[in-house]
Amino acid sequence: MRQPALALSLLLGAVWLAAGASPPPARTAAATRGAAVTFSFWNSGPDLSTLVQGFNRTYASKYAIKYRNIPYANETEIVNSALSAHKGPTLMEESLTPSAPYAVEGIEVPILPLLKMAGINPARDFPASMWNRTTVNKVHYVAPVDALPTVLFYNKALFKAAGLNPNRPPINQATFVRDAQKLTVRAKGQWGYVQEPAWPNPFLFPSLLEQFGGREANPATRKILFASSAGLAALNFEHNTIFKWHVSPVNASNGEAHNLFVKGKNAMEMTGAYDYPIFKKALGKNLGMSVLPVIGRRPADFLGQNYWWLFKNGLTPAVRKAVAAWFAYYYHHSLLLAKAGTIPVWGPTLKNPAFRRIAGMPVIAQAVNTGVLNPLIPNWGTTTSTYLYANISLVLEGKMSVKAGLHVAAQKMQQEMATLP
Amino acid sequence: MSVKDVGARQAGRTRGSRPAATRLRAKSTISAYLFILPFLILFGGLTAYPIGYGIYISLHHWNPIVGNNGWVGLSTYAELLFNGSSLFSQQFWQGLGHTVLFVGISVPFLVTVPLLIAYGIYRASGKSFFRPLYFFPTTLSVTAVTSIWAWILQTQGGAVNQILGVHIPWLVAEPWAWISIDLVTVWWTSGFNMIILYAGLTQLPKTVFDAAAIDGAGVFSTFFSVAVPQLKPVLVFVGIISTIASFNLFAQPYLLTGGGPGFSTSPITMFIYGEGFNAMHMGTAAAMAFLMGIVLAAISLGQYWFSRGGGQ
Repeated sequence: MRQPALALSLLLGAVWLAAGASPPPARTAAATRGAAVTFSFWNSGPDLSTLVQGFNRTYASKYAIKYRNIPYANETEIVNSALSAHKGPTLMEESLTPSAPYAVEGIEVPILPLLKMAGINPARDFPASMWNRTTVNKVHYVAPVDALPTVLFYNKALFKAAGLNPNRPPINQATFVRDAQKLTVRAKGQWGYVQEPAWPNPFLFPSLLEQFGGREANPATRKILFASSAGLAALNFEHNTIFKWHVSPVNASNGEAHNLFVKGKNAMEMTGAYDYPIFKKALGKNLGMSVLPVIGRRPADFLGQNYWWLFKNGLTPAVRKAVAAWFAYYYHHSLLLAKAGTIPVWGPTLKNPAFRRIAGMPVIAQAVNTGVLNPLIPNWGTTTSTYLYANISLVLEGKMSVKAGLHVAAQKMQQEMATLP
Repeated sequence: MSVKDVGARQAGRTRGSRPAATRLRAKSTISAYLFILPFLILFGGLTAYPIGYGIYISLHHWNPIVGNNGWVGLSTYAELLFNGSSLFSQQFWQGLGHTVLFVGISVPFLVTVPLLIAYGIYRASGKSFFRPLYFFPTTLSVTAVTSIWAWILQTQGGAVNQILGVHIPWLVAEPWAWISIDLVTVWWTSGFNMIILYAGLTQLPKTVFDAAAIDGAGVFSTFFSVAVPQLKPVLVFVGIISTIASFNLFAQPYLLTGGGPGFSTSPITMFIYGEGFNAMHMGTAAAMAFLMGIVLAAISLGQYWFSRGGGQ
């Protein structure tokens, strides 16, 4: 009798495992109360759990958020897997372009009505740089959550040692090159600037491209536009820092610009504002930060960013109200988040004197105003990293000419555009 | 009691015990099936069904977020294999080429380095110290391993370049990028193969080594003439599992070189991943994966065939 019993228990165990064994989800305090309208919210940006807890407390018996912070590195894969299993969230926050395929596939809802319910007028309350150019088929499906502009970080101590004014960072191409040359001291292993072949080109190249008057692509026609005279000028500048002006090392590996900057061996870095806390900790009072120098013809900087959007799934009128309440709660608390390092996009917060007193924030707010976004085309991030940024790497390693790098990438990407939804 | 009565009684006893034996056999058979049923359920639910479903997906335009977008039959396979102007086909052949290259440069080291270490430990004293020491890297996660090596192999100020006094772009230029990936993989995974080979060495009859010693064989001649031939089945096993593992290369280039410079260290798994989860061409990704599986199965069968004497 023991054998069949043992076999039966093994069998039941196997069925349990194959059926996807997982304990029942923990019930939130709000859920146990039963009355609250609950919706799920996933984000891959800064952890918002404290703010969500505050919201759940404030609206204790009315609304509740089931919150999940997912890793940025593979956010798209996690969300797509969940959506394909019909277990996706109601509200999603990611960077901008991942929202495009969902809009194109018709599984997002227009966001303007919800913003209106929350008392938000996007044209007035968000920076134009974060609101314009964010439509798919002329409909707004996304609203900005925070911004990460590209800025210039520099080491004031190295500036001083090179006889430069530590409070006057370079403002254009000529001053940038001049300063970088003075700051490069090869005998000490010190560089005026470190241009990595790979990162942070997804921030830097679009910044320089726009500065020279170019655009990456036209989202309406899906025409790839970066292989232009502006694109050539932008990439030539990067190339020249290594091979013409010799202010940057050859073949810098991933992370070197950052690591050398922290060690005081790299005097300037143009990258996303997300590095501010780490640089501040490493350099203290010697950290300088300014908007990007105008390398091209006009000020522009790429905006790293987080946006949110709503999936149709489970979006009842009651849930819409709950989401609108969360929007209002979030934006009205953005000063608190700014103090913790998240860069706000809410007009009243940006104008608040308390915000402008936070170290570094005025520069960042200025950079947000001149910011540019990636074109809202499905899979833009993947396609550019596969073709454009792979080729830029080869160009900056001296393996490909600037012109060929951009033209081959544009040709492949144009071909890829035809396969997109 | 007549003979007839005895015969009848015996027949009755036989008749009476036959159903009992049948019942016992049936019970035993049911038990046996119940024992293998858990495996069959797991195999069916977690292997056979996904494979079947994967084939189904590969025959369709399949977007992971909205599902089936229409039947395409074998056209995806045909495009991948024969349409050189298609981006998918270019990615497939490029990725497959890189993967085969990695198998070619990694498997010989993944067999010989652990073999030398295992033999060294087998012959030396301090086995209980060296075995865990060499096995230790295997216990680390790939993220930890690649993070450490990415730091060690930096061009400016990386430990290796500092110690050697050179300026080698280990992670950003070829052939160094492949050498780095190979080096890291061998460092990370050799411990596992070493343990298998060490276990194989301990199973060899000690008398053979004693006889070789009496005949005056040194360490190296014993290694090449005694240990290696005797370990052949284990070496073949290690070769096959290393080939399979190397074919599944993904995380090391993904985290160390990002598949670059250009695409030069992008294995086929990276293209499959990108097409399936980022570009949302799940049908194409599934077809690529099945073609890769077929190539892998053919190589493994070939290795097995050679290990059995190559048909002689």
